Amino acid sequence: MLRRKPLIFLLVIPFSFFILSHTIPFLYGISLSFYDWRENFVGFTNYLSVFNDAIFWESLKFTFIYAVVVAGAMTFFGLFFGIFINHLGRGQILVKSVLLIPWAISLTAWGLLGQIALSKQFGVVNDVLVRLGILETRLAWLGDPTLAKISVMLSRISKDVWFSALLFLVARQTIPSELYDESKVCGAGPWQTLCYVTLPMLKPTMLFVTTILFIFALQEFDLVFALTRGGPGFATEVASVNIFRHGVRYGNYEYGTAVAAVWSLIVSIFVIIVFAPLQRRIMEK
Amino acid sequence: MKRLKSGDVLRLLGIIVVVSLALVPIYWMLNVSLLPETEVIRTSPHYYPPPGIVTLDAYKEILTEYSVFTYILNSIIICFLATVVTLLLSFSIAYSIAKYDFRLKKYLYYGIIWLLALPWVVYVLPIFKIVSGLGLLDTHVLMIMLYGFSGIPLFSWFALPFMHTFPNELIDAGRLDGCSEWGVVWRIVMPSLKNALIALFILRFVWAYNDLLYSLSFTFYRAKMIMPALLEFPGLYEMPYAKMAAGGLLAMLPILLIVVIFQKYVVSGLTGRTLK
Repeated sequence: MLRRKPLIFLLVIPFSFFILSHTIPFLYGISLSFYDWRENFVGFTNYLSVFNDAIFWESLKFTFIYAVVVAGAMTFFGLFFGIFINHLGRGQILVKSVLLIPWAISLTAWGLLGQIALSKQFGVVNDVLVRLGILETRLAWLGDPTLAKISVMLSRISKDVWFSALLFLVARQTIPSELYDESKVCGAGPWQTLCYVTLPMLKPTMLFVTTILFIFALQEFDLVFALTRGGPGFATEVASVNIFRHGVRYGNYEYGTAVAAVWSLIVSIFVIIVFAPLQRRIMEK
Repeated sequence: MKRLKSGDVLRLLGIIVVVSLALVPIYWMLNVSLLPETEVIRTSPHYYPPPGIVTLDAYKEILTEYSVFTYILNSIIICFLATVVTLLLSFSIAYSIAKYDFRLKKYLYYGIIWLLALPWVVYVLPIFKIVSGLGLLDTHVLMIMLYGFSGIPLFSWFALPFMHTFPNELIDAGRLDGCSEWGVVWRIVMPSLKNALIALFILRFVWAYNDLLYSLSFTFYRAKMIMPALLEFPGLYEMPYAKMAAGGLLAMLPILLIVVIFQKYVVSGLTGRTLK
């Protein structure tokens, strides 16, 4: 079983494509962050400005809030809808085929749709809420800093909660039905069955879905850029948009790489503390 | 005749609620895209396009003013070839991690975990500087390489559980018949894992096609992809909502087609890890 030579072709060369195209540019970027735009070596000057940049820290805070809320809500509501759909009988075949459609839309198009639907004067969201008497006046969903933050998170959740519902639905349907027969025999009610059979059996899926959604949410760029561009002001700016703004839109190249280095360091700490230990547990199982 | 039970009514109601919650946004896009621009901008929006004013003007305009078809075609070509590259490389990596023992294996595994969690945005600035020096900016080749290679850590990780459960006997049989290791991956592992392959292919294709960050940062004219093109509809002084909705729908069509045809594979691609 153990042959060493083929690994060069099977593993080393394929993996080196990633190293060459991404990791080496990444290291090059870190080395650039110690220079200014005239290519003078400036040491940690860029990093000092990053640490004094209140907007950057605000964007970090919002990125983490965003990731926690989005991953948490999608897991919770996905679980809820997954179990709910499982009880819909034969009709669930129709439901299943519909759940992937929102997933197929790009976050870019979703952001544009959000601009249409959330517009203060012309948006359907305001119109419906006012007609139902929930709101008295139309709200500027994307104009007010707090509301814009909520809008970004809600629009992300409303798009992809169906995908996570589908994952939970499929996982729920692989639980052997003997377990449910047994719990019936033991006289368990629907709540007890949920708490002692369904939820424990779905725990691996919950862990997987939450962590992968959290990681994707930390990387969020598309939706925020298409929906608000980080505005109003910098209220909805997530870390990726912040780095993009400095490096690409403002052309503050070296400063952008310094922000990117700090951001990747913070994500790495998250990986070491949370994600990697979780993986070890999955691997040992 | 069987009498309708209250449980059935509740079930039907549940189905209607879930289906409409999931589809309302797409309905709204379609609705807006079929209205003339002046009819979108009104304080009480049309909930359906009134028959008298339905128009395809928004579609006509974006197809004549912008080369939307070219952008979509660029996206499809780039993402298709890139996905082939990603999957070949990732399957080979996952195969060697699952079926070989080597000293640094554990570190490689954690390295992959780390790399798949690193945000893409940290690569954008340095790659931009390097490729503009090489004259590769805004070319199809660059985008195929970037989307092809960037997926390696995530998709090696996704392919790993499928490889772990792959029977060793089949591999040994192939070796006895004189296959090289690449031959084993190419002729035995990949055909037997056809379903997983399709699932991961769709996931990678859809994610690459829908990605905005790389396409916005590295394509401008020659290799322009559809996602950054969508962002050009809103101008500085106008909000052409109907055009935005029409563009979003057109961009979505290829993906929708693939997802509808192959939908049963998509979930298994993501859940191979947890369901086995």
